[in-house]
Amino acid sequence: MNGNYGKFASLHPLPAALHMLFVIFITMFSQSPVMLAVSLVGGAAFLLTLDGAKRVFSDFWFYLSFFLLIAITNPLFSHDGVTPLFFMNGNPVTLEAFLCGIDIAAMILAALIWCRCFSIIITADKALFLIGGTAKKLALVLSVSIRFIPLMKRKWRQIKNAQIALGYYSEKGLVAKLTSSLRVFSALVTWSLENSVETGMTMRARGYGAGKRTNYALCRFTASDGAFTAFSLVLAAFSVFGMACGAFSFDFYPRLSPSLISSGDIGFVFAFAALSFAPFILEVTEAVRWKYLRSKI
Amino acid sequence: MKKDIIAVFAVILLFAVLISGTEFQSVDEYYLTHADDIKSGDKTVFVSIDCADIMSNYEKLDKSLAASGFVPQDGIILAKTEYVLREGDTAFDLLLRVTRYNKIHMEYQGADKTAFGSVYVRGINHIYEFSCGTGSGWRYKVNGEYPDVGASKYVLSDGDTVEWVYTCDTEGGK
Repeated sequence: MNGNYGKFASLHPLPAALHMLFVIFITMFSQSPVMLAVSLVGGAAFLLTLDGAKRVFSDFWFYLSFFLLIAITNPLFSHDGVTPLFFMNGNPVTLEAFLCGIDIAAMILAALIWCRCFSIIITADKALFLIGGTAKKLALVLSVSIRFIPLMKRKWRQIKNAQIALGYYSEKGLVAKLTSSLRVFSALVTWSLENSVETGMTMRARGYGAGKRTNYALCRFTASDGAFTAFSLVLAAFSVFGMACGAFSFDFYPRLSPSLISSGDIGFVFAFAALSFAPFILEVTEAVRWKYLRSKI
Repeated sequence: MKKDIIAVFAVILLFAVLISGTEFQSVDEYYLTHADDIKSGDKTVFVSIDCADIMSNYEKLDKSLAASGFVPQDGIILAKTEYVLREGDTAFDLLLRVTRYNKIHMEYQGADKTAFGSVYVRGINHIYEFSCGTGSGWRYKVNGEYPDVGASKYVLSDGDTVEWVYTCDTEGGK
């Protein structure tokens, strides 16, 4: 169940999922640049331990262009702010709007990175286990539909190969590639519609849903899982309390808030930092301990 | 490959069209507007910008706007002033000229972007629509009455008084 991943992936799926959902939730609802930076760095560090530097840096250009696109779009549509840089069609393009764009981009990017970590840690089987206890029907529907993804990938390759053999598929130039892919895609859609109907009919014929549904427990909830759940619950509650008190609010319009964070609210930042960096620290200490133990053999 | 070049060219063309419809000005250039000196025999109009309605709805005002000091205590952003009326000036043309001349921040939506075919003034002096409750925004009066058309469709005549007023409750103002 561990896969290639370390300590965090070996936790019970419930505390792991809860922890990451807390971080994503707080990230999405806070505007403070300090909080977003903490979340972004924590998430990126965690993703580095999961995916490896090579994989993350190959996606780096995607993340960067995504970031810049959002950061530049905001000042084009939002013209509030006291520091105009230049005027576009009689409307000011301001420094505040630009900074706000960067802030929003950081928020979306942080949420995206955490969601990526979530999808790596909470694999399909764990997700089904999590919802299987309460919503058995939904779990079945989900598992059948998730099954479709590898199935469609395989079928895509088959159709493509057949088209290549027929001489229909061309990869010379972008437009030719696009039309060829479109032809494969339309064949794939037809096939998948037919296949899903067939699957449903077959399952009914074999008696699925006739009796009471049961589910299989994949993982056991240990004491360390309980400790981790308590840890993330307390920190998340503290952070949300700080959020409700307005500790993480930061205004961009019409003028930037005078300070990034007031000195009285620094405790909330540390709580959130502990929450964001916990998965990374867990992974790294485990890896170091493993290296150390191996060196003694 | 030939089709690729055409595709790239199409993207560049699209980008060029988007850029060419846009006018860029530096800050100094924008504010370097000249309001004509009033000579005898000139046609003139009076303009004022007023947000006094916020004072009676202060609890609804956006917190960061309240802290910024852009809402004057008496609600007068621009006291009633006389300006020269140029031929064919609409209420919006005059507002644009006056705010530029007085270096007052103003944001508007172009006539091509609104459903009613006239410009929409989103904010003056950093006070925006929805800054003071869900029904708040800028409206204009000419000689004490709210006209039925958008500001860039109302052509002013000699001696008119244009008042830009901020209302916190659009329904009540009607």
